[in-house]
Amino acid sequence: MLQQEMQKQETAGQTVEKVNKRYVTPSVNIYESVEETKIIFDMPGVDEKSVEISYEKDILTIEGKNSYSVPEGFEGAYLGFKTGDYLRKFNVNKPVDLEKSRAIMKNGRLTLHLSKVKPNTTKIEVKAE
Amino acid sequence: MLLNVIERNGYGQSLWNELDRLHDELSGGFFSRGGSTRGFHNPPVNVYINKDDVLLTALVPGFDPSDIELSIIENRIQIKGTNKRVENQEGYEIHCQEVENKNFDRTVELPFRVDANKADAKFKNGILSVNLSKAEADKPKKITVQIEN
Repeated sequence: MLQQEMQKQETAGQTVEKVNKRYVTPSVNIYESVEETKIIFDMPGVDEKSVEISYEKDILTIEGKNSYSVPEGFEGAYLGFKTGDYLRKFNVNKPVDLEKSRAIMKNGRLTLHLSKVKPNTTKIEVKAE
Repeated sequence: MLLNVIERNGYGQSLWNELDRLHDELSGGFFSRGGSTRGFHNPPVNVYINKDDVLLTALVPGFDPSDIELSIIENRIQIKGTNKRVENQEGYEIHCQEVENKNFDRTVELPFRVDANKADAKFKNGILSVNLSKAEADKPKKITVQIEN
């Protein structure tokens, strides 16, 4: 599945909008435990150097540049999948400990471990009057 | 739940996979005749051809090259994958499952025979690429027609 992504570029103080950038939406598995949220992304054609993970204003964005390209001198006889860069965004509604979070990329599959922030529990002593 | 999915849909979702499979069978023409074995995951493939060669690519993210078995019989190319790693999800609640972890078995039938001795397979970042040469007997031949006066 491809999606259109509006891309904004700042050029000499002007915003230029490019609407023709197309992305493939990677499939994901999401698992949650007491300590972390684990997300698995399938991004065939992407290595560890060409994936970007960003977290801003509760939005987690994963973007992967696909190194796969249609071979030169060949023509497509049967096309069962579309190719392109990957993009997927999530709204994170609980605080994440970015220092403890980690990501592993292997064989086109990204595993992201998002550590949860442990709530600070402060006990208030109750005094008798 | 920690995450809300903002953008979902992708080739890996089970419903989409099933629709893709039906689409493959209905519109794939010759190349889809091999199909997949029932009960197995059906990895998407692209087939590219030129005058003498064929390039078959399959998306198999998460698999190691040692998990994949490739066999060629005349015009049929069979790709089998056995996932030897069992992920322990104990203590985790499942919120979303679109990624395929199942074993796969897919056979692609080409409209010509290929030379198995010249086959060359590579695996990089979850993409399997198989280079094949058309069998000499099935390569297009130029016939010169003698015109008699």
